[in-house]
Amino acid sequence: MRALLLICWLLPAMAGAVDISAANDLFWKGNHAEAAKAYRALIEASPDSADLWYNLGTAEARAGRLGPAMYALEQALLLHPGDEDAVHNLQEIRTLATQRSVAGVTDEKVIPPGEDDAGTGLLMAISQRLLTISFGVTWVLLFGLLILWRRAERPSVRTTSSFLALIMGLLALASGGILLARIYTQANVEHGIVLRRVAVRAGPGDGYPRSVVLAEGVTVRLRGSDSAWRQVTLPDGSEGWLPEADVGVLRRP
Amino acid sequence: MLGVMWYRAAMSYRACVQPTDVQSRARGPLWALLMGVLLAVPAAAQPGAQPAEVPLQVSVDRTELGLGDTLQLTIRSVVQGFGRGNLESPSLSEWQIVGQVERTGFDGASGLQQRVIQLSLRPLKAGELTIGSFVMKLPTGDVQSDPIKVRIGGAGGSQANSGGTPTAPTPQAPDNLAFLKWEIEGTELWLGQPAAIELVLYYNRQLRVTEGSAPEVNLEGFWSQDQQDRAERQLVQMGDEVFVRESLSRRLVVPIKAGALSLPPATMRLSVAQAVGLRRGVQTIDRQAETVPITVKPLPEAGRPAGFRGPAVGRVVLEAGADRTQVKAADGLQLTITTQVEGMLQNVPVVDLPDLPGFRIFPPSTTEQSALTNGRLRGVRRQTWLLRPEKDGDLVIPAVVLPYFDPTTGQYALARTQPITVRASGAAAGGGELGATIEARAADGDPSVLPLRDVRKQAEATVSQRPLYAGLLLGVVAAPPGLLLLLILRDRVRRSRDRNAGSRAARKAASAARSTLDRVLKAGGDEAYGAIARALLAYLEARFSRGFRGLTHPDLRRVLEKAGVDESTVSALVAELEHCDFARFAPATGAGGVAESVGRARQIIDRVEGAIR
Repeated sequence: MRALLLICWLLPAMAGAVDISAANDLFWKGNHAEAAKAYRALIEASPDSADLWYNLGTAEARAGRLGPAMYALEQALLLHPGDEDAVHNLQEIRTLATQRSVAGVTDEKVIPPGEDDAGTGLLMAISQRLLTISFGVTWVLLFGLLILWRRAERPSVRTTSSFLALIMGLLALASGGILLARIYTQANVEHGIVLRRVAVRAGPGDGYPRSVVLAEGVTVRLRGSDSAWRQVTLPDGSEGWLPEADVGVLRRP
Repeated sequence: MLGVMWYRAAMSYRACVQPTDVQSRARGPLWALLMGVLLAVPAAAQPGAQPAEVPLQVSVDRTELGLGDTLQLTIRSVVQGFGRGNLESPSLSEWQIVGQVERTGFDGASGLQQRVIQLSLRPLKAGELTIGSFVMKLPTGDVQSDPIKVRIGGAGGSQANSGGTPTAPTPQAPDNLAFLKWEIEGTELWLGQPAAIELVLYYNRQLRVTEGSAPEVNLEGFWSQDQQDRAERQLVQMGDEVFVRESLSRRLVVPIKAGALSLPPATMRLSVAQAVGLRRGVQTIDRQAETVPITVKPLPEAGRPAGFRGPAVGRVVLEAGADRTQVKAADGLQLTITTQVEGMLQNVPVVDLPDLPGFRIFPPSTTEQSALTNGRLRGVRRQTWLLRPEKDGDLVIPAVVLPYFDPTTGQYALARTQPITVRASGAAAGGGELGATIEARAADGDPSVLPLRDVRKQAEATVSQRPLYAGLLLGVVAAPPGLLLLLILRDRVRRSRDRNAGSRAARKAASAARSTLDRVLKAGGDEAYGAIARALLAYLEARFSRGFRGLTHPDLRRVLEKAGVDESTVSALVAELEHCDFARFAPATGAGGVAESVGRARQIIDRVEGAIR
């Protein structure tokens, strides 16, 4: 009976875990490219596993493919925001990618990784947790003050509470507005990571003129698509087209 | 036990009557009175509480001492009740008051207040000095202590003057009540030289300051930093008067430009009252600290050493140290140079390490710390370099020199470190190869040497989406407006219920009055008119929720008209009430019979109902 209970308890836990030992063995033997391939195969079966994306990113980095590595780690962070290991590795890889991006400087303008377009970047720079706490506190205080205002009989208390309620209302409106904008952006704006150094074209084809060069790991906002090309907004706010194969699309859970 | 209770009462009272903050003084006596009474009442219940019998005792710990020695003078007074008795002290112009301690206690059983003042006095001249009589003014008459003669010999204590000559005369106070004053170490400063300034309030010891706050001042031309450690209040003899010296603001200033600068006039409004008594005789006075001119001298050109930057003004000490003196090339060593500055650290430039042949130098890490203690600004900067030997043998880190200007001597000086000799090994033999290789590979962008965190041994298939967080947020968003809506709804329901209850009561009043009138009509008789009048008044009281019996008819008319009943209905009501009153005593003369009167009363009720509706 006990054994049956143990199996019943373990089954769901076992069902949630992925066997990655084979892929890890490849990684620890130094066969990073093969390990990355194995992680990718596992991800096809479990695309919402942040751990698999993290391992993939780390293996890709060791294999020298910095663009795919940054894409996988960004995806891991989307699935598990604040993952310290992923943040650390991403930072290290991004630093190296930035050095590489300026190493082979040509006459063309190169955009290094780590830059968001101004609006989205500013919005995403504010922590969602901070925004949520600010909104929650000001919201509760606003209604607490309104209740106090309704129930108070002394004119001084009514005046003070109405004034404070006005301030809290404005603060709640501001923090709530920014929070909503952030959530909307997160939910509706699609982003992609440049997988390898690529030139941006003015149109969907190699025949269009080049504008700038994007280093691997640059984050772009996805706008539209045409056959095998993606229309993107670059970190500097300009528009352009990239081959679809060179952009890793970040998918939210 | 009694002693403990007395002590607690006395300490509480003492703590309250001598608050440290000027602004808090007004609260002191009341709180002290409460604490004194609360703590003294149980003390009074203890057996053996004996009041002192002598109202004023003045004593000294000795009658012979030397110049520079300190005499303890104790004044003990016992008076009935709180705040009674005014102690007047004699002139103590031949003494310097160097300390004062005061204790007050209250015996709740006997109602006696005991006050002990201990003065520490230092004689200002030799010979026979007399401490005059202290006078205690009581409602029952004055009580006076005996004068005390004290013989002052020659030099006695550590601060005695040689030969027993009198000390310099004490300065005269510019104002007998209170005055403000800037106090500064010197009025001639070098550019960049720190100086402590203090804004001080002096007020006569016979007074107490009930209100007043430190004025804001704008120190133009200075960098300044507030000092938190203010000096305690002191007693200062000025002429024949003793003043309390209270520091309002202590700052450290550093002139940032040369030329004629000044400490600006500082104005303060304060309320003062007699030291004894509650808030009687409070007067408000304005006092201003006079401008203090300060001359800021530019740093001299003559003798300025090469490489002087800053202005590095103050006293600078440089120290250098290495974490090891025998080093393998692969390890490297840490060189730390510490710059200690008595002055503004920010004005002292960071140390530039010279070229060190045989070493590869990595960029330094720097920490800085400044602190203001005892009016002195001190700062410490630590710069740490990682040095890697590039050849074997004894390598010398030479002395590092930093020129600065010493304001105490008015001359430039050099702070320097001692040279350090390091014995290096392994560089020529390729001992640092591994580190160099790693650096080179990292510099070349080899990702295999990146300090990445390792892959995970286990992977979860999915990540929980934290529904609790979303639910909590939803709850926070929905709950407050929901609560407000609930409260509004509850108030509305209550109001509606109250309103309905009122109309129900009114309807019930009208039907009850009509029933009463029916009964009156059936019963008839001489009592019927009185019953009709009572039924009408009872109806009105129930209808309007207020008393109508005993109102005069003009008052009744006014109340009803104010409630919205038209004038003709009110007139009919008043006429019917008058008719009932008249008919009670002369039934035969009544206008019509009981039935008609009942009919009119019914009409009046209907008309009132119609008017109100």
